[in-house]
Amino acid sequence: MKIIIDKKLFYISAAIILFGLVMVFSASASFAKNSNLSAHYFAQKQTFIVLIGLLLAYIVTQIPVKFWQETRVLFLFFALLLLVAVFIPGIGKTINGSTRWIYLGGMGLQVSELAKLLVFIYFAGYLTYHEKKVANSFLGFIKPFILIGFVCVLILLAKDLGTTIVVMVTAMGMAFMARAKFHYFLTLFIVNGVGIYLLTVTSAYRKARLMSFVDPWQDTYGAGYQLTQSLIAIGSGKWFGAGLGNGVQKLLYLPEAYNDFIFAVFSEEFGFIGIVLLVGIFSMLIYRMMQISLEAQSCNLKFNAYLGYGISFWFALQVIIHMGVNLGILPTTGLTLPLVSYGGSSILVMVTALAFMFRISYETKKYSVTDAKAKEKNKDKKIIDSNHKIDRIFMDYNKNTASVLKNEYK
Amino acid sequence: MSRYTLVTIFLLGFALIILARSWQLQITDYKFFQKQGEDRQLRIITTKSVRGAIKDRSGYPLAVTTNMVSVWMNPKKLDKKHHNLTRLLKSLKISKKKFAKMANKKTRFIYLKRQISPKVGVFIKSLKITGVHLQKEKKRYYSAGSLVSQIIGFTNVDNKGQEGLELFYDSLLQGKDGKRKVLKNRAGEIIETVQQIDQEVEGIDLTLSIDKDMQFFAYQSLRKVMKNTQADSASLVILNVKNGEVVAMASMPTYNPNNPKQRSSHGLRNRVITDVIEPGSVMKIFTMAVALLTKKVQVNQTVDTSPGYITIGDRTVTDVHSMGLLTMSDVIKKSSNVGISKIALKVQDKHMWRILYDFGFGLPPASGFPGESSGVLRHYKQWDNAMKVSLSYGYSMSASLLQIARAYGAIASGGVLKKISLLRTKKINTGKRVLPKKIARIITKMLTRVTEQDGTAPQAVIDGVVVAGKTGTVKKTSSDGGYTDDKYISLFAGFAPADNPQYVCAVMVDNPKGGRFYGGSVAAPVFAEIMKKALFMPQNINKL
Repeated sequence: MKIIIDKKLFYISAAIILFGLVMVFSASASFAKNSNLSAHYFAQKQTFIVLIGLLLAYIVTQIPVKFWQETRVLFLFFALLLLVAVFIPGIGKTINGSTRWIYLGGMGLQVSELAKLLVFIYFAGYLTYHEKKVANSFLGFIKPFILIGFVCVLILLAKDLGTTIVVMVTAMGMAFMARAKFHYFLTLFIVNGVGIYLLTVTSAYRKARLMSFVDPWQDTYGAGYQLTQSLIAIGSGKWFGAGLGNGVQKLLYLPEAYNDFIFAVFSEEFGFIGIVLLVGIFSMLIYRMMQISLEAQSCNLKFNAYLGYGISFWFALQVIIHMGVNLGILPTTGLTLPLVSYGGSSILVMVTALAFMFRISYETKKYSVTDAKAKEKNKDKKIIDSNHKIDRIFMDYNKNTASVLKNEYK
Repeated sequence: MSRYTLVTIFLLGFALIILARSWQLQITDYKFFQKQGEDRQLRIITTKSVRGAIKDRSGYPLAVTTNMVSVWMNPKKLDKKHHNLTRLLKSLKISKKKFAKMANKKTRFIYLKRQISPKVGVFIKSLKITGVHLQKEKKRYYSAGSLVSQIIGFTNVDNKGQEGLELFYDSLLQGKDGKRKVLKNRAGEIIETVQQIDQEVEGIDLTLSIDKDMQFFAYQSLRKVMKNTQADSASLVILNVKNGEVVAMASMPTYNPNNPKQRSSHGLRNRVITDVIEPGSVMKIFTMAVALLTKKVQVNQTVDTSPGYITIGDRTVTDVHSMGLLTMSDVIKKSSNVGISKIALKVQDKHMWRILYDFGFGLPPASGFPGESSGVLRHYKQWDNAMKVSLSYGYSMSASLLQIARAYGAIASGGVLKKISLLRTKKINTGKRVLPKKIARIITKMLTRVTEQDGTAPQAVIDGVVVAGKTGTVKKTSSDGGYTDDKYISLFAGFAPADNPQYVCAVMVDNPKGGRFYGGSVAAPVFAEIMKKALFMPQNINKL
């Protein structure tokens, strides 16, 4: 068994993960102390999970992508099962009003994180097998979205609007790469828009969140608290930030500082320059992922390509939404910053997703090599064939000449 | 354009939006956010200075600040069903009924008990009752209890001086609270000091001139005389002749400053300083002094006091019995009112006023004690002969016991009036000369005769020491303005040893009952007792 990685992607993501651990420590120390835990409790836990993630990633890189392509429906059902299991008392657990966790043997798993990956695997398979239908018929386009919509409803029931949006938009992105017609998206956008609007209006909780997003300074100690604290953190960063560890807002002021609002803590400590660098490195990460997908596509490894695009868009969306929420340009919704935020399930699934990208990159290279070999072989064969032809011509010629000569001598 | 390129552009657009928004927050509008942050994170807190201690002259702490805790609760957050509640109430000695009343108050802050010992505080913390909190506090503890309470006074629960020296030197003792800007986390814990605005100044320790042992003896003597005579009150003060320091100053009844309930009783008054009396016969020596000074009389001259009374204007001055021809020193020794009146008549009003004024009567003694009385001494232009005569033996004026002791101190030190100090001084107290040394010596000599066997105060005698002093037996004024016939104030003022005076002491017993009321028989024994203690203090043995 050999280690399969994509070097560029590995270096970029390793840098982000290592720096993420430092950030988690910085952002969580006060919260840990306040809960009578050791200051590095959260950072330690996160490190441990990253190590487990590496093990999981190693396993995933050893499995041909084809395996997932074939078992995708099975895994989708598994995802649905988990999403439903969340609501079974005794297994599911509600934290902060969201029912997102299931507990098995002392370990908590945030189901929607895993569901995301499984949905993308399923959808990549659908796109592979029904490429023409998706591209040319609205029915073919909308059918899988009904299934994904069902998954989304289950995630929504667990009060996780952020993840729902990530799943929906990522799937649309994947369909876009499968050359679905533009006006299909328009229709889907309208349907989703109306859906989100209705969801917002009917839930007092979401409505309050939206209102507080529009003007957070109206109620800085109520609904607007979290956002204003986040904005204060970012604004206080100025050009160069307060320096690593010197942020103030993480001193219990900013809720979820080491999780859904870790970007705000980062911004306070590293300033605008830090944000430029962070956006830069995430751009590199996503660009490399998309490149890998594109390479797979050009080799006609369709499933690999669609899955790659799915993972790329998912990471990109989550970075954009996380930062957007922290910066107050998107309504508050709890999403982690990929590879940085604290959260066992999140980091575990993200690292696994990276492993998929490594495998895809690897298979593309392998394909190119075999393809080249095959071509080389073909070339040889052609040469041999042509030699044969010449031989035959000669033989024919000889035969003919022989017979002519024969006849003449007769 | 390929779809791949479209998506890339789309994502880059978002990256730019994020950067633009960050620019807006961090570069354009940072001031707003910084201010909002500081409003929430930075607090100005005061660091309490520690109130200075008050010590006796040898450094024994009389008033010290100790660490205490106060227990308060937030009735809105109180866990009313907590299983440790009964243990809490037991440790605080609060009844369930009272507690229920407190717990139902519509407030977020109510003290359960203030200033309990830190030990109990630790126990209460271990009970972990939601809504019950502890707060560190300082409490003033008075180790000598009622012994010095009237001098030192006390502070209120907020450590502000309320009475006595605690009040007078409040700002010195208090020091200055410091102010600093600190960074707090959301739980209110201080993370670091951002800026020191005002450095705190620790309170200054006061070292009193009081000797706690002498103070103890003074109280014992007073307690004894109070018990024996059933007097209304009694006071005494001992001054160091050399430097004007107050060695002991006591009055009965007194109070215990550590018990807040006693803090409103009449025991609060430091009678030595705040109460004035008509000083009576103790004032005769000043009349004698001015007569000698202005040469109106000679030391060896005599005055005829028969028939035992004299009428000046509408006033008749009487002696206890007719004493006939008296020498100058006999006038003092026998305390003849008639004799001193006749001498007074020879003296000019101006001169007589001047000597009383010089000896500190009618002026506050500037002891550094709040509420000190200056007494009343009318200006001589308002006098008539009757008034002058009355003044000659200490009526028609008033003075505090401290003023009397101080004036006697001036005689003892050979005519120099010293500044009074309740604080231990290292400076040499030069004072102010108010009488030539020669005349002071003559007066001292006269005073020593008072304590002779046939004088008015043989009971003021101390074995082996010559005592100079003068009695006073003052009729108390009644509520209608006249004098009562059966209520007296017994006085004795004097110093010892006569040839080299160390201490001057004045004793007053107000309204002694049981037939004895003369200064010589009530106040003089107290004087002798306490003066003996003072002179025979270990550090004074070789001075005798």
